[in-house]
Amino acid sequence: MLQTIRERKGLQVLGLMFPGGVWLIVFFALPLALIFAISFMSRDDLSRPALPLTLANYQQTFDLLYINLFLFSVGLSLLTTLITLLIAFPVALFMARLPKRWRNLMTLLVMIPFWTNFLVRTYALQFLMRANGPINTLLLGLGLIDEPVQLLSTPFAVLVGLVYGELPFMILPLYTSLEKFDWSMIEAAQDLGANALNTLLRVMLPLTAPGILAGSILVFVPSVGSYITVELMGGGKINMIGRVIAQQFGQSSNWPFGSAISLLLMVVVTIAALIYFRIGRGERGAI
Amino acid sequence: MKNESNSSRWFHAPAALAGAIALLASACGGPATVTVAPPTAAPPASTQVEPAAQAAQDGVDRSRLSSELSIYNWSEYIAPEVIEKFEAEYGVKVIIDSFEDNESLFAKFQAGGNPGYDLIVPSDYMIERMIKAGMLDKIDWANVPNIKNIGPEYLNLYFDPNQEYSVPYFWGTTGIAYDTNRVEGEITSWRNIFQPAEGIRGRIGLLNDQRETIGAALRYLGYSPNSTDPNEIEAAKNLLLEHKQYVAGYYDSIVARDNLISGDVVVAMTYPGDALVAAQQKSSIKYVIPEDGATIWQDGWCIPVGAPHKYTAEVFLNFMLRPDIAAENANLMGYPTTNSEAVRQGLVDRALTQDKTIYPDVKAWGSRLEFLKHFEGETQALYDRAWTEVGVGQ
Repeated sequence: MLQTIRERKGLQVLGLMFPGGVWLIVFFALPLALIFAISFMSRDDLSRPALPLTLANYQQTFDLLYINLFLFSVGLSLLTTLITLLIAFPVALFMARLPKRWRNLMTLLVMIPFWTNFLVRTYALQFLMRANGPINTLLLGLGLIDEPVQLLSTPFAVLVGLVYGELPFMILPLYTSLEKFDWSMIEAAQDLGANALNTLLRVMLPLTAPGILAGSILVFVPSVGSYITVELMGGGKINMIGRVIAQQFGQSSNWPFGSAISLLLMVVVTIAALIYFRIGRGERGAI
Repeated sequence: MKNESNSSRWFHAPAALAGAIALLASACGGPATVTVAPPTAAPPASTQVEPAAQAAQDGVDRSRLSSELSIYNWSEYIAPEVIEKFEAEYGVKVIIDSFEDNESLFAKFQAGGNPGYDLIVPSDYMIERMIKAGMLDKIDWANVPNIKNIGPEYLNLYFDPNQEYSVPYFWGTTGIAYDTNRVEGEITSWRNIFQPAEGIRGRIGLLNDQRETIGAALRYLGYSPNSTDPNEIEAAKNLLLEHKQYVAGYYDSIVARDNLISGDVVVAMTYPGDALVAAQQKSSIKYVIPEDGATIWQDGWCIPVGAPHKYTAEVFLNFMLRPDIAAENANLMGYPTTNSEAVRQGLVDRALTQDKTIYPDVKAWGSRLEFLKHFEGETQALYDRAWTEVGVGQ
């Protein structure tokens, strides 16, 4: 009898794993295997992936051009992460210090932009930053500039777009972290003579590190592979990995090369995630 | 290529924003005031009243028509007024999706076959490529007798030598539009783009189209836009990389048009129809065909293999070839029509047909107007790679 229960339990576990497992296999493992296979293929006369197998696609990515592309994408994404952190931390702190009934409203306000299509919001940003858009008009009106500044199609424009788009993903984990924060710790630190900076750096930051790390990974990963923001804010002039991948699968009909870059992008993201887990473990150890 | 409408895309942005704000207001407990635009008017029921009489009139077997027709077209490349007429006359609902360049169209069909389109509108060299890839179906001319309205000079061209797979649509050039108020002197050639005067640096828009833009660079360097020489393609790539600092962006023609109107760019590589719409909104905008030459193109309606409603598609093509319809479409879109009968009957605006920048004298231009050719294998890969590198270069 004990055995039948055990068997049933095994069946139960299998049953519970089934939907997730199928999902994982169909929508993750299979496409990934396909991308992996295609990344070693060459192209036929009609630009379709074909045999023979080759390493050329990976060799091509080691061209200085593409190394720079990766460095630029990673750099801009790190900058995005840093800026969102700097903006999100005070916001999350403010939210966490509010009376409980206000907090939910604030969370709602942070989430409301999600109800509007991301594309529409990015177009709105684009509109603001046009040569004769509101920002330039304001600057001209104030006499700060003599002629419209080129804001769009610059790395700055892409950065603004990324920070704007990813900000909520930083605020929410930080807020969750700060909400659980035991404020008596601050009092204790102050009682022990720590100044404000010390309190922040040596008490608050370590204790909210899980939120900071979660937020950072949530911001960094989509940024490094972002496509729409780069396309719209970069005006075809600024390129990041995501846009080049899209170009390979579209315009250039070069699936093998696109697949190779995709896999390298996954390596970058995996490295970021590994760093995240490593630091995360370290932090927990410290606490 | 070639896009059109009377309102530019960024004009929609504030409207979309207003909608978003209304949504927010309603979400916050305010009155919900979002109004949803009614769907395109359904065809009047009267069209189905006397099918027999109409069948006798135009030879269309209405019982074979589908209820829907799915078209994959360049964005804003057919007048909505014409679509409405077709819907009203035949009781067929037309659904239009849009693409931005020939290569994207090809990639879509290459990725997983025909996703369910009845008609597509590739340009010359892409028609050839798609025929070779076995992506197009032969058109049953018995259902498209109005093909007789197309001038002989637009038929049996290199990309479809036996006129089996395509119905000529618009043709035109890829030239330069600029704002005469903001550019000193005249823009006359690609030299003005690739050796830009001080005043237009950073205010130049190029097309986000590998063959067109690399082609323009090749031409400026004195090579053919159909060059297959790796060194020449390399030189064109290097020129574009060097020139990138002066470029405001690489746009599709609609975005280029909007940026011209808004003033974000003062010079843009574009197509005549887009330039015309820009000029309607800002009269200082002028289109020129560079004197050193330009791409000439001709788009065609094609039925992709696996089209669910081939007969309806052919009925649609026959409708589009009617002189009155072709003329209305041409007048609204501003592109040169291939429907010579419509021009002969005087249905197309003379202001258009006599404008030499829109309807250039092809014979006088001679070899300076050149069709882009389809490439295979290695050469195509060279262009793909060059264009990717231009995009990636900082």
